[in-house]
Amino acid sequence: LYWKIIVPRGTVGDFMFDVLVIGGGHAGIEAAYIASQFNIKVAVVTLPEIGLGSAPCNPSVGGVGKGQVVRELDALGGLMGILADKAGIQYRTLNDSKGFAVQSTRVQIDKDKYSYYAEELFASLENVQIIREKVVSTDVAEGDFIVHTTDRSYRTKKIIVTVGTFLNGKMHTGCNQTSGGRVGCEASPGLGSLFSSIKTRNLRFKTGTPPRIDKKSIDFQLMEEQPSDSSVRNFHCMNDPFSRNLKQVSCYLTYTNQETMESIRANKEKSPMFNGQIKGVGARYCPSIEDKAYRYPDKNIHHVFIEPEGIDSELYYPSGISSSLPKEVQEQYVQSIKGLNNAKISVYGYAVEYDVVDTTDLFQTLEHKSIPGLYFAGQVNGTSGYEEAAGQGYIAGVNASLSVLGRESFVLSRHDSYIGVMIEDLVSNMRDEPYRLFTARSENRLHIREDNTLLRMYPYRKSLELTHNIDKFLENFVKEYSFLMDLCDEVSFSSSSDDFLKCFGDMDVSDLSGRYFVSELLRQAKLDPVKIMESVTRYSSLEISYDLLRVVAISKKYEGYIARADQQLSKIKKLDSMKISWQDIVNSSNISYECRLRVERIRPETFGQLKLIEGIRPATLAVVAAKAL
Amino acid sequence: MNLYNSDDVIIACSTSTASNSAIALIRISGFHNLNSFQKYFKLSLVDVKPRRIYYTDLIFNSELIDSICLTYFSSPNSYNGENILELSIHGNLLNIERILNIFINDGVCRIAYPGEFSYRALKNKKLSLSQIEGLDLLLNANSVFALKQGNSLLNGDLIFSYGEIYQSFLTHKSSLELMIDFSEDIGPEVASKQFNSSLNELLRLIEKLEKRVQNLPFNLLEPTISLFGLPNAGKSTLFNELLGENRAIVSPVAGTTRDFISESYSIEGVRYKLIDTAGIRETSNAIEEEGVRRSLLKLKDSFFKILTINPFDTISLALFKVSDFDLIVFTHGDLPGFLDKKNAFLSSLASAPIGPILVFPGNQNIKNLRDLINNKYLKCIGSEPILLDRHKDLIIKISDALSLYSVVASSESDVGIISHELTTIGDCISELIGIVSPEDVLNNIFSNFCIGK
Repeated sequence: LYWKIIVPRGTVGDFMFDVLVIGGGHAGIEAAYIASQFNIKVAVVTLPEIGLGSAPCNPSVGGVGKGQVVRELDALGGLMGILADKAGIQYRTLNDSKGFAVQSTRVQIDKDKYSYYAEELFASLENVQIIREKVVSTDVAEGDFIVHTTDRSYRTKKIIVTVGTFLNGKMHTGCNQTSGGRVGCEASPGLGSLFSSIKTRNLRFKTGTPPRIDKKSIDFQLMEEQPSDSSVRNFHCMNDPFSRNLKQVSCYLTYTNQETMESIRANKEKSPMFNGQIKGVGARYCPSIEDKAYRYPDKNIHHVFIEPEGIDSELYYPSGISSSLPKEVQEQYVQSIKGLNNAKISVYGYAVEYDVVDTTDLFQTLEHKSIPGLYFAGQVNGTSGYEEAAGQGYIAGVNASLSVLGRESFVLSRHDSYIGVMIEDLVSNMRDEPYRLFTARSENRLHIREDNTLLRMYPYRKSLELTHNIDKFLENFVKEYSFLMDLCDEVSFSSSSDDFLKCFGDMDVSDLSGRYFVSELLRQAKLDPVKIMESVTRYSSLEISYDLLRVVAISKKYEGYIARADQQLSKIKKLDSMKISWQDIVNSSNISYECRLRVERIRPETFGQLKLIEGIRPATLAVVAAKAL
Repeated sequence: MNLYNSDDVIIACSTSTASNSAIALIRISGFHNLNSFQKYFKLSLVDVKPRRIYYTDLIFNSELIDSICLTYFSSPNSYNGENILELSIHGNLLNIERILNIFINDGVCRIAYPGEFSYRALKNKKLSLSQIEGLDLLLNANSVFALKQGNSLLNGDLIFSYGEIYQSFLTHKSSLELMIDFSEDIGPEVASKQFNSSLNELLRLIEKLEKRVQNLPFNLLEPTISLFGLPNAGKSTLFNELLGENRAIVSPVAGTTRDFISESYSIEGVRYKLIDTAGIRETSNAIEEEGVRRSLLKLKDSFFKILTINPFDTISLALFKVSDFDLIVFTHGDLPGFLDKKNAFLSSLASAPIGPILVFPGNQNIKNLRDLINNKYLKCIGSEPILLDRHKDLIIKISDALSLYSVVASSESDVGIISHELTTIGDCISELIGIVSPEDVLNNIFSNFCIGK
C-alpha cells in the first residue's frame, strides 16, 4: 500500500484543525486540496484499508457533462484533472461528431496509479494531515467539533463529511449480505451516531458494480477495439494538451445476446433487486443488467465496454453489466458474451445500499442549515459518479475555508457552470433517485462548453484572491483571449487575393466571394472554425496556444446563438439571482399554505431556487417576483 | 392594487344583473373561516357542512333582509380552490345591490375585479389558461358551436389535442437528449431513429391542428351577413323582410362615418349580425363610388355577402364584382319585363362564375336564403376550426417554427444548435397549454371577463 511508503504514520500535530474532512475519496481529496490552498490547517480522516482517491467502480474520469465538471474543477484550481492526466491510459472525445457544444472528454485511468499520484501529491502538502483511522462519533465543544476515531480525538472548526456509500452500507451478491461500503471494507456507522441531531432520509439509495474479469481469460480478437485518441486534449489546463504520462492502451466493445439475457431472466427470483432483498432506489440512467433484462424483455443486445483497470492490471471492467446476482449466475451470463466465453471472474459484482442525507437541508455552500460548520459532499448527498463527488467536494472545501477566514461564501451560477447546475438541483429538491449530471440539465448548453471553461471559471477563481501558478496562467489566458477575439473582427481577407488562398487553400472555400472578416469566416457552417483559426494565426505568425485559438474559434461560431439565448435568459437570470427571504414567504398571508410548507422545508435563498422547488405555484412566483409579500 | 397578487375576500353577483329575475346567486370567495359570517345568518354556521344546501334568513342589524339558500364549498374542493360561500337570493336588482352593499360596507369583502374568481382558479391550478379561455368562450358564446368549443377547451378534445402536442414535444426533446447524453449506451442508430420518428409524430400532430386553424377571413364567433347594392336596389326592403315581425329597434353602429344599420339575427341557433349598407346615398357620383368602395372594404370580412340588384337600374353595378358574393338577389321580381331585364344583365356579365340567385318577391325565398346561410355555416364548422385568436396565432407560430426546425435538424450536424432551436418551440407550446403564461396574456384574457363568473 502506497501511503505506507510515502507517508509514514507519525504523531498527529496538536490535534487542532481548521477543516477536517471525513473520507478520502474523490469528494474528500478535492475538498482538502482546495482548502490547503488557503494556508489553513487541514486534515483528511480516512479508512486505513483504502488509498486516497480510489475508484471502486468504473476506471474512468469524465464523460458527457462530467468532462465539463472536471475541466471546471481544473480551472478553479481543483485536483481531479491533474490526477486524471497523470493516470490516463485511454482518451476519447464523446459526441465527437455532434458539434463543439456537446463534446465531452473521457479518460480511462489506471486506478492504482491514480491513487498513487493522489497519495504522492498529498504527501507534499505541508498543511494537510492524512489520518488513517475510522471515525466513530463527534461532539460539539465551544463552537468547535470534536471528532472521535477508534484511536484518538481531534478538534476542528469545520467538518466536511464525504463518506460515500459507507453510511449503514450493505452489500449484496445473491443472497449473501455483508455490511460495508465497498468490497473489502466495513461500513461506517449510521449518520445518527456521528451527528445525533441529523436524520438521514427514510429512502435508501442503491448502486452496483459489475464483476471484474481476468485479462488472460478474455479473447480481445472477437471484440471491436477502441484505441486511445491522440487528438483528445488533457484535462489540466497547464499541461501540454496532447502529452501523455503513461503508455496508452485500448478499450474493447462487445455485446450481450439472447443467451445472456435469457440466463438472467431465468434467475429472476435470485436477484436481490427483484426478490425484495434490496429496498434501496437505484438510478434509472445506470441500470444493472438485471434491470435491462427484466424491464426490457424484448431487447437482448446491449453494449458492453471492456475497460482495463490499469496498464499492468490483470483486471478488466465490463461496463454495462453491473449485477448483484449470485456468483454462478454472474459466471453464466458473462461467459455467454462474445469474447468472454472463457472469462474468469476475479471479483464478483455486487450492489450496495446506503443512507443518504436530505440535500434540501443544505445551503448552496453545502453547509448544513441547522448545524453551522458542518458540510456534506459526494455520494452521501445522493449523487453518483466521481466527478459529481469531486465537484461538491470543491464547493464544500472552498466554503468551509472561506468561513474559517470569515469571508463571503462561494457559489457558482447554474447559468455558467455544470457544478452550479448540480449544486442548485441538489439543494432545491429532494432527489428520488441517485443524481447524475446530464447536459440536458443545463438550460444554457451552447455556453457551458468544455472549450471555454477557463473563461467561464476565471471570475470565480479570481474571487478567491489566491496567488498560485494557475491564477497567473488564467489571467494571461483571458487577456490573450480578448486580444484574439478583437482581432477576428478587425482582420479581413478578400476571397480573390493570393493571401486568402495561401491561408485557406486546403479548405473548401469555393463558395466564398468578396471580402470576409475572420469572424465571418468562423461562422460559415461548412468550414471547421478551429482549422480557420489555426490558419489565420499561422499566417499572421502569431504564437497562440492551441487551446486558446480553439476557444476563440468556437466562441465566434456560437456568438450569434448565445447572444440570442442570452437575450431570452437575461431577464430570467436577473430574476433568478435575486436574493429572497424564505422567512418572509413563510410568514406571508399572500402565499398558499401548501407553498409555504414547501418553502419552509427547503428554505430557498434565491428566486431561481424557489422556482426549482416542485409544486411551487405560478402565483407564488408572481408574488415573490413582484416583491408583494 | 391589482388582482394578481391579492388574496382579499371578494364578492360578486354571479348571475345576470341586466334585469330582475327570480333568483340571483352571490358568491363570496377567499375567506379563512366561515364562522366570521355568523352575524349575517340565522343558521348556526358551525353546523354547516360543505356542499350541502341550507335554507336560512339573511339578517343585518337584526333586520330580516332576505330568505335565502346557502352553500359552502371548503378549500381546496371548490371552483377556484378557495373557501367559497354561495347565496341564492331573490333576484330583484335592488335586493342584489342591497345585499352586496351590506358585505362591502361592513368591510368584510370587496367587490371582485372582472375575472378574479377565475384568476384564482388558475392561480390555484384548478384550471389551465386554455381552460379559462374555454370558459370565456362558453359564457360568451353566440352559437352552439362556440358553446361546444368552449366546452372542448374546458375539458374536452382541444385540451386533449394540446396535451398530445406537449407530450409529443417532450418525447422529441427527450430523443435529442438521448442522442447527447446516452448515445454510448444505446448506440447512434437507435438515437437517430428515435429522433426522426418523434419529430415526424410532432409534425403530424401540429399539421392536424393547423388544419383547424384555416385562415377564415371572417369571424365565426359573431358571423355577419351583409347586404350590398346600389341605392334603391331594395336592400332595406330585403333587410326588413328578413327580420319580419321580429324586428327590434334599429341601432346605428357607432364609430363608422356612414351609418350601417345592424340587427341581431338568428338561424338554427346561431346568432348573426345582419348589416344593411343602406345609408350610402349620395347624389354625386364620385362620392357614391367612394361610399361603395368603403362599404366593400369595411365589410370584406363578412361571413355571408349578399348583392341586391334591381335589374331595371344596373348602370353603376360595375362597381361590384359579382363573383365576390355568396348570393345574388334580384329585386322587383313582380314588375313587368323583369325576366328580360334579369337575363339581359346576366348575359352582360363576362364569364364571371355566379353563385346562387334568388328573386324577390318570391315563394319560399326567405327560407331558401336562411338555408344557404346555414349551409355555409355548417360547412365552415365541419372542420372544427379553432376560434380563439391567441390559439390560432400560437399554432401557426409553432407550425412555422417547426418547419424551420425540421430543415435545421436535417441539415445541421451540430446537435447543440439543433437543441437550441428546439427550445424556442418548447416555449410556444408551453404558452399554448398555459403552463408558461406571460403577464400580458393574462391581462388580455382577464380583461375579457365579466364580474363574478
